[in-house]
Amino acid sequence: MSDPEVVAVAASPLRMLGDAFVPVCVDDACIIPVPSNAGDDSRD
Amino acid sequence: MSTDSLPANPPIKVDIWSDVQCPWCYIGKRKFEAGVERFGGAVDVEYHSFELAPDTPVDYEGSTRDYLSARKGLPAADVDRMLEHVTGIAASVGLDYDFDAVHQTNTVLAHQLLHHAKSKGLQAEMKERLLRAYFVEGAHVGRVADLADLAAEIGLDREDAVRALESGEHLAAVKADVAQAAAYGINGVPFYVIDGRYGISGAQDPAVFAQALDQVAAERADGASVPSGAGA
Repeated sequence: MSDPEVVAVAASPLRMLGDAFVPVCVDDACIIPVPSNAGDDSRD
Repeated sequence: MSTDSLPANPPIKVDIWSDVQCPWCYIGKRKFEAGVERFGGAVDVEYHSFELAPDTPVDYEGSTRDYLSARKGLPAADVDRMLEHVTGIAASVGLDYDFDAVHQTNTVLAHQLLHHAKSKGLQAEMKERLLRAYFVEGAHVGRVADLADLAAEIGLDREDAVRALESGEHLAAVKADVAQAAAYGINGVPFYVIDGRYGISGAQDPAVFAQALDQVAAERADGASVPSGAGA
């Protein structure tokens, strides 16, 4: 009983809204995605 | 007041995944709040846990610059430039980030405290307090005693917070949030799930949030006006 039971509810697919190129943090990197024709992600 | 005369629209549920040490999450919080204000309707916000760096030690020795340089192999000057950029954007939404003072740490206990606060009806207050403590005040948000102090500041019982954190009472809820994020396919934060149907990723402009909320409200109104065939 020492390990907590992890229960995730089945999730319906989400319809995404908004701009795809906005700041977001993934793992420990916080980035501003940029369109592919502008080169690599600019990291922040 | 005059709410008795208004139609009884239930608030729109917004589930937000974020981490206490995510700079875009605090900026996104301000933008989301501005979007909700622009929307003008009732919104029920629930914060969920997302651990960006669960392997970070509680007492990480070093600055944010050290941390990012070490983790990403980036020159300190590049990291400084990035942090200056984020600090500038934070300032544009009224947040005074101080990365020189930030204590990089593990946030799993902070997430447990958020769940504890939720159980007491004070999650929103706890979320704001934790973010401000981390990014603005340079407070430590990884240790039980520091977290309990913050909990007491917003009106939670300090000893009860200590008990909840030391017992791991809410650890399962934290892990469930992380698992739920994975089930949604969420791999970055902040992430907003509106009405369980729409996803918004990142620190979007307030107009995006307002539009999404308007859309959900309009769909509800349409649904309510279309005869269901089931009567009533």
